[in-house]
Parts: sequence; C-alpha cells; structure tokens
Amino acid sequence: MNVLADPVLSVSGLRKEFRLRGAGGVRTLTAVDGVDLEIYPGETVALVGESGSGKSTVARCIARLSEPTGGEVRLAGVDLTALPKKALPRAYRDMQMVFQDPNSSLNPRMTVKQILEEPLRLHFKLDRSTRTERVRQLLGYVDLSEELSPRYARQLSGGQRQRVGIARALAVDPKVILLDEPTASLDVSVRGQILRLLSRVQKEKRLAYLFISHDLQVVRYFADRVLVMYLGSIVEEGPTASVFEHPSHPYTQALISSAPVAEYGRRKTRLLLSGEIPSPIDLPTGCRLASRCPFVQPSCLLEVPPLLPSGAVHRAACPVLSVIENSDHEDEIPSVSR
Amino acid sequence: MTAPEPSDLILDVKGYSGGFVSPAGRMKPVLDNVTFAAERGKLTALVGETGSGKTAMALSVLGLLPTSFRRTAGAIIYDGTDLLQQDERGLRRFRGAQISMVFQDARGALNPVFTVGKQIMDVCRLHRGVSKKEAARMTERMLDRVRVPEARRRMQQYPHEFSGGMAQRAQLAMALICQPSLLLLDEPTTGLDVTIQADILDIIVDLNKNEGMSTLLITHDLGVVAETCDQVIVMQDGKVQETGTCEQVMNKPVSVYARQLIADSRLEAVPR
Repeated sequence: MNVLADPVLSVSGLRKEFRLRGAGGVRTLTAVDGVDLEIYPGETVALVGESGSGKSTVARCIARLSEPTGGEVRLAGVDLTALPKKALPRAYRDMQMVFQDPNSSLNPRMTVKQILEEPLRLHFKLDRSTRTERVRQLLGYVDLSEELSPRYARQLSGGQRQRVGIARALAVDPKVILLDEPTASLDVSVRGQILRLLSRVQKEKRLAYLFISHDLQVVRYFADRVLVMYLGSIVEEGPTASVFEHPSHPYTQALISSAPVAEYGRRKTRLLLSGEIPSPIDLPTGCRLASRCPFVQPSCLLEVPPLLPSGAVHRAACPVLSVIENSDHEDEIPSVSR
Repeated sequence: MTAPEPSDLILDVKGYSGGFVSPAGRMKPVLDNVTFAAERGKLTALVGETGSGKTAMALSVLGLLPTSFRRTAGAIIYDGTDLLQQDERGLRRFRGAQISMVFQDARGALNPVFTVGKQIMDVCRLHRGVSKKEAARMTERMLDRVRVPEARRRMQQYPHEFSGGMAQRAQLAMALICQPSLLLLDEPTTGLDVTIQADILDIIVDLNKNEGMSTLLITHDLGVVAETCDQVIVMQDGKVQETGTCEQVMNKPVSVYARQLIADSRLEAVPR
C-alpha cells in the first residue's frame, strides 16, 4: 500500500434510507448510516458483516445502482454524487462491479463474446476486428479458452461464469472493482482459483478492490484492511492482521470466534451475543449492539459510540470493552467452549 | 482402535450405486459403489463439493429420490434392516419416526400456510398418537430445547415470521419431536450467518453428546466438520475417497482429493 498516493475511492458520510409506507404511516429503514471509507490503488479493503448489516447496500450506493440518501463518493478525486446522471457512464468507467451470483448477473440470452463486447461498445469506439481481438485477450487474461466465446452462460461451470464476470469488469480497464461476495456460491477448489486470479490481476494492474464478504477465512487471507459493519455503521476498522488478532469490538469478537476453521482440535471460546440482528426500521439511539451485547452498560444506550483508536491505525466503536479487558473481570464474559 | 461391531452401526451402506435415467433412457451415474458406516451415538460427516453425490446419498436413505433415479447395486442397512428392500409402506415406518431429516432451506421446508406450532404438533400426533394438548406441550418443550425464545408465542406464528436461523431451529424441533434414532442433516447451516451457524451447531453437538443422537451431517464445509464431527466420509464424483476419524482425516489425509480439499479450505495456495 502506497500511503503517499491519494485514495482512488473515498466515501464519506454515506447514508441510505428507505421510506416504508404501511398501516402505521411512513417509517424509515436506515440501511446505511454514515459510512466513511477510503481505498488506495493496489489495495484490498474488505467490508464484512452479517446479512442485514448494509454491506451490499454500501456497494450498490457507491456504484449508484441505488441512489444514496446522503454523503459523498469520490472516484479518483471526482465527486460522483454531484455529477448529473448523464455524466455518470463516463465517470463510472473507472469503477466496475463483480457480483455474487454469476448465474443471474450474466444475461442468459447473450453469448460470452456478446457479454464481453457490451462494455467495449458502450465505452469505446472500436471497429469489429479490434473488439474481437480485445475479447480474445480478455478471455486469455482470465484463463478461459477462446472456444467458450460462442457459448451461453448456462453452458459454463460456476467458476467459468465468475471468470466471465471478472473479464467483463476488466474490459474497460477500471481503477476500482467492487466485489460483492464473488466466491460465495463457489466450491472451495474453485474459490481458490478465483482468489488467485483476482490477486494476480490486482498486482498487474494496481487495482483497488472493495471486497464484500461474510466469509471471514477468505477475508483474512485476501484483504489488506477490514471494515466491520453492523446495522448500517462501521463498528471496527484496521489492518487485517490487527483486527483478526486483537478484535476490539464485541461484534467483531463474536464474528471471528464463530467462524469455523478447517483445523482439527482447535479449541476455542466463543463470545455469545444474545438474539439476532434487530430490524433496521426506527433504529434505537445509542450503540446498535446494546440489545445483544454481554458488556452493555447504561452509558451505551445514550449515544452512538464513536470509533476510538485501538492501535496505530486500528479503531473500534466500543468504549466499554477496552476498560473491561484491562481489568480482572474477564471471567464474567459469557462464552462457550465446544 | 478396534473395528466397530455390526450392532454398533446405525447405518451401514454397502456398495451402493445408482444414477438418474434420462427420458431417452440413458443413465447418468451419480453414486458409484458407495460404502461407509455411521456408528451409533456418533456425529458422522459426509463431505463433498457440488456433484459429489452427498445429497443423493442422504435422500437414498429415506427413499426420497425422484423416480428417475435407479439403483444398480448395493444395500442401505439401517439398524439391521435393508431399507432398499422396503416398499413405500414399509419405508413410512422409518421416515420421520426413526430417521428424520433436516434440509438446507428451512423456510422452504416449512408449509407457509400453517403456523409453525401446528406443523410440529401434526408430526407429533401422527407418529406418537398423543392428544392435541399433549402434542402442544411436547412441541413447546422441544422448541425450548432448540433454544427458540418465547416458544409458546412463536408456535402461533407462521414461517414467514421466522428468521432463517429460527426456522432452522423449528425444523430441528420437528425432526426431533419423534425421538428418532438417526438424524440426517443436509447442509443445515449453509446460508446462515456465522454467529447463527455457530448457535445451531452448538445445539447439534449438544444433542449428540448429551442425548447420544446418532447424526449424519452432510456438508461442503470442512470448517464445520473439524469443529463438530467424530467421523468423516469424503466423497467426490459419487465415490467415497476417504473415511476415518475427524482427527485422522483432517490431520493425516490419505487420499489426494481429501488433501487438496483441506488445503483449499485453509486457502493454503492463495497468495496474500
């Protein structure tokens, strides 16, 4: 990571609210509640959290597949939220997206060749033979045989489809790729191949990745930095090793201690949260985790805790935990061993 | 370690082969000479990737495969009885009452137009012949057992009012209400969040350790296997590649495939 460079993508105060009309009048669902993040060239930033945390909505708002309610998204210095809609296609050439489900994100009525030609047609004026040559290069670049170009998505395996999705994102030579659970629907053997491909492509092109995932194993190996999201807010952020070795927010501790690891006999103690993620409709004041947190204090209910330093570049939004961990009360933490 | 006595085996699959027959009459083999055993009171994992045949194997135990499936050889012996020799009526004595199954998509497995409580009570009354009042009491107790909070109130709710994790608990309660001797779990935590997954796995391990429930857990996730199971069977392309204790398979895998699968699960070949 080159700290001297400017961030290629920077997001500040991003908000997304949905208005729900129902019997009780209009209510507000806050999916994203003031998210800040920066990604530098060549860097992978992972956004982790469980379903309902708002991590995919963040990506959709950045890509403007969903219109943000507030906040700023800057791509290579340009404020995208201030641009008129007409100017967006050009501005967005630098940012592409790869989706989780390659079955539904590839048009079933288009061949591989047509899928890869589409972004070229939209963004560049190329003659037919140049385009065909470019498609051939792209297929080779993601290790797919040229023979696949007349095939339809349904005729490909899951891994091949995800390679086509990656090739499509690379077609316009972007600076940033938003990866929304790119390996979630793949077998582990294919998952490794796709991660190796993404890693190689990143090194060669100095791409910045926003990697959205619930698979903590993958995040641990793949990301440079991690942001942990819970109910629309970032509750912890820092370098991957630091967050995994010293998680400083109860939610991060619960997530990491719950994730299964393929090693026999690894005894571990799991931090238990009570209940499930609450509804993002009419969010409570105070810490979002308060209703489930074993460390909850009266002060937690008063205001949303800010992100506090927990290391050099590691921050967590829990003022209580740092106090507990420095005292002798660790035996009071509710946890189970399996 | 001595080999288990036949009477210690709750499930003994011997040379089971079969495949799906296309309308044109061509056979696509799915299971090829599958042989493994599950010991009584143990938590056994059946592991494999997409297309390994692990789900087809589990559905075969209950005779739930579509009619296009044709068995070509083998036997599935449950507690001394060859299930493949049973007709539909005979199988019904085992299904639900002695062998229960839990599926991946819990909300899809529940009927959307009846309350969760009624569905569990129906199973209970059919198989155990108890009164409505007794069935309600047993259902509430079982939902408590799988840690559904406010079980009595939850019984009145419909599946769409349940989260994925709660629906999976309800499905577990339904599977357990008849006190089966063998529990088949087909990817029971796939698609659930990790904290919820860990809660469900805790319940499964607790049932196995404290109540001696013989369990066959079908999964693609070696992380889940390593943290829960006693015995492991690794399948690939319809064949058993490796069997052994969890420790043997995870720490000293013999087959090339198991070794590769473990390395991939640990992301050993992925550069930082």
